[in-house]
Amino acid sequence: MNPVRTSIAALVLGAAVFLPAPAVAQSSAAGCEDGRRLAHTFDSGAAWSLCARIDEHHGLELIDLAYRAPGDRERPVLRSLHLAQILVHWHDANAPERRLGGNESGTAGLGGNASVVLGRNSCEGETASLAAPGADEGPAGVDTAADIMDQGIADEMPRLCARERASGLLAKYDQRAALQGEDWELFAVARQGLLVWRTGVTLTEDGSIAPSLALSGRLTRTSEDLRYAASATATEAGLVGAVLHATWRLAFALDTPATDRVEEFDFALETGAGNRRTMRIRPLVDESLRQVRRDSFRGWRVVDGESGAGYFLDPLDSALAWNSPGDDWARFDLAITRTADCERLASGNGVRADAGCGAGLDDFVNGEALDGADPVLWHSRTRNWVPRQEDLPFLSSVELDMRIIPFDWTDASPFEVVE
Amino acid sequence: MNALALARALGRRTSRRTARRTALVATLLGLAASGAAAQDMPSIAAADADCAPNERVDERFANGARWALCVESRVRENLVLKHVTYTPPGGEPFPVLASASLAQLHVAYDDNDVTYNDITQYGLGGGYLVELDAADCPYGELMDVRTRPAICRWRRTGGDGYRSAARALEKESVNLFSVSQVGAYAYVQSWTFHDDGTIEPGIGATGALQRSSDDTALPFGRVLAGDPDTLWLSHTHNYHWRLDFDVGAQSNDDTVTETSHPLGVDGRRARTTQRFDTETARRIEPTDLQAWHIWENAEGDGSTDAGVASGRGYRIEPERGGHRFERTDVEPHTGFDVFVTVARDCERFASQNARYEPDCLNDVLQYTDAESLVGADLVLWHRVGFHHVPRDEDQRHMHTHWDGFRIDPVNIASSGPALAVPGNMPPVLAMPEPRSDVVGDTVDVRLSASDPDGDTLRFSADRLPPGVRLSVDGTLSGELTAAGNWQATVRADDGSAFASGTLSWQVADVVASSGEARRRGWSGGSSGLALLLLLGGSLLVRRGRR
Repeated sequence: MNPVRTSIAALVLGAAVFLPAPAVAQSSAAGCEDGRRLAHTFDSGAAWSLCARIDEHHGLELIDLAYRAPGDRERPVLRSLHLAQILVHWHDANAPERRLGGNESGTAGLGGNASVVLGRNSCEGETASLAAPGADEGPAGVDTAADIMDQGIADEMPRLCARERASGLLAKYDQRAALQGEDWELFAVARQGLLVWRTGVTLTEDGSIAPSLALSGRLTRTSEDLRYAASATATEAGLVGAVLHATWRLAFALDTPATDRVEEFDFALETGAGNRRTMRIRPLVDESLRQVRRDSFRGWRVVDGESGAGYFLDPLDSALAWNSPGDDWARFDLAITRTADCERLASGNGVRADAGCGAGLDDFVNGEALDGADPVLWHSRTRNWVPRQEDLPFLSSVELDMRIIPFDWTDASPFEVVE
Repeated sequence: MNALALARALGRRTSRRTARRTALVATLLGLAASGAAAQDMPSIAAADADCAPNERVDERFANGARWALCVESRVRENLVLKHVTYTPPGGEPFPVLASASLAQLHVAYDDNDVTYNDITQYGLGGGYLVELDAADCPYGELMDVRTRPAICRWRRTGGDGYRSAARALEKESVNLFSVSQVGAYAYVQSWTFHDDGTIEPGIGATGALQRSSDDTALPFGRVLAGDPDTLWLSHTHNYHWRLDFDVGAQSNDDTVTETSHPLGVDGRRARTTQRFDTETARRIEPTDLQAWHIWENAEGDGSTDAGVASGRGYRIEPERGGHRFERTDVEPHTGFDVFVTVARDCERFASQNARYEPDCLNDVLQYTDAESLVGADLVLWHRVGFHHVPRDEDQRHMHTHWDGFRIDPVNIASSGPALAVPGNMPPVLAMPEPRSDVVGDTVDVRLSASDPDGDTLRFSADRLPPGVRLSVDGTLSGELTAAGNWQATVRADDGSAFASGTLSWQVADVVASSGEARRRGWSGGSSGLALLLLLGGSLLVRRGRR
């Protein structure tokens, strides 16, 4: 980031506060040199702070996410959060294609030239300017020339949208007045050909983190073969459907500087023991690939090694599973690795300049002990998109998301005190 | 003879709802005869006729869509939606559901000492329904259930309808919710209707943890902070919905199909479609990528080419399937996630049904007894589960945990929500005259295009002569490196629509050209730039709107 440009005065936009990068760079060893420091405080006093940047390959990345519950101090949660791969298996194709780390310009990633500049027609909130390393073709997707003039900076354009949303009932008990919740949503947009990807993260007032990926834009893959296509019209061939697979990378750094550990929870039915479900907690001590077990409600908790504060990943939206050819790691729902900054993409990682450590999870996960390093969780979700008339001329957004929630982060709900 | 009596007289085997339907037709006929016929489809008229004023919901959206329905609160199910009809933008009213409700709230604790069927053991309506006030519904309006405000109607905006590079359209929706206090738990029944035709049934679990044990050594729960003497027990919430579809004009011609996209030996994923001709129970097979469709009629269902092409209906793609409760030795119905049955008014609950309907079967799997679905009114039952492991933050009160699913329209609207783009006009691209140049010439020129809406344009091109590139702002630059007769396609795109044209470009080999020509470059103030901006070639320009 240009140091001159980082001295732009803080933008105070409603409840959202965009802080200039230098202020954070001075106070954070990790820094926010090529991003922008952001913070948001809800009416309840709950707050989030983070650094947002655009990576050439994986697009939007949030760094140093810290949460402050009402009445609590700010505590770190994640060192880094970003999308790590998108696999698209068109129904009529013999193999899936990677959308990050590909060799062609349309599949290289979500940063650089793919990164879309946002404006009043594409962000129902406040925009924040970010650089997009790798961009060499000028701004894409700006609403009007006036937007460019307003920003005045070619390489640091409004590429991030932030907004606060009411989320409905946070808590309710009998006739007590309900607590209303709020979310803080951040997203960036990228364009690959005619496809448009929206990568976002929703940070809730009560500490949950929900990264998401939405596909929209225009579809051009058509076929006369109705085994693979649907929603044909009298004059045009049908659109070809696709299986979508999104993988997120969550590098944990919970609470204290002590190393975090990972636990796997299972609650298998014991038909021989009166249909009970014993809670079994297995420490995961080595790098490994794990699968959802729907019948035992498998989930994973990351716990701070000193305070015991944790976050839980419950793979609730795992009704569908990926089994397309290639990318062996993608047949698993979760990967756990030691933190390594050069391991960024679940596959296609070889395109990165700092990719001396492997091509992807099939290389990264090698049984190395997690001991002594904070863990990175790579979680995937699958959806099957089948075309319909509602997808013309623009694809009705198809969204995939996941969520981690605080688990023993505070001793009780920080939002209400019961007499 | 009043309308209902007339309907009853029409057939002794007429079900209660069919009688009501016939009565409504009779009512409509009467209205028509009196010159007061409703303009809407029968389902909307039915909602009016069969709906108390305080139960009626009729929401119109900015894109022209409309949802009309009736919401009733019953003692057991609480919210029962009736005559749910969607009108797409610019389209005709399209009946979707005759009725929809939560059909069981099954809670099984991990120690297996207790299993609750909350709807049939207690109920979510009547005295369990919580009176709401403005603090519960700060963004919406309260609706009365009988004399008490107990339903919040909330108009919301949020979530991408679609997104192009330059524009995004957010969805509008109306959300109806109520709160029922059952023991320590408060359940939030929620129904959201989006302007794109999607329905989202949902339920939130909040309130307080219900069951605990003094034996903190038990492996069935967790001891929470500040209370070392109490073990709070883990448990599963299984939510069952009953969806009585009446898709399209007729109630008894709907069909249900299961589509899947299993991986083929060639790596491709051909669709397979199975139409259910008899009552059936299905479970989610994660790698089959299933979805269940309810079609308007057999001619347009997904088992035919015509149906694949343009059949109209609704579909459920399972998403929330990460926690799948199964205990088939004592509750065989827990082995399945989706059921399709013939509609019967006495088959109300997914389990413990005989408790209130003693002349009828007891659970949804028993209803599924291979009866023919052909020509019948159909009900689809869907189950979603969530296993709750207590955490410190559940003390007190628990933050709402949401579960649910989506019911998406298929081919109901003639096209997507993009129709609501307010008057976007395509760009106008000024194409240059055909060009003749020589290998080695340099090029540096900006193409010209404009947009009636002032949208910023992004240029792109295919098949440019080697050595030349086009930047997104429309600048052609580079040095011609190869001879040939090139036909380049140039496009200016505003993110929603585009204009394109063909640029003919003859590049001669340097040996065959004159020295003067070889040194001529477009950047040198030559006539090339002027020609380019002279807006010629209009015959070659094509405008498009996707």
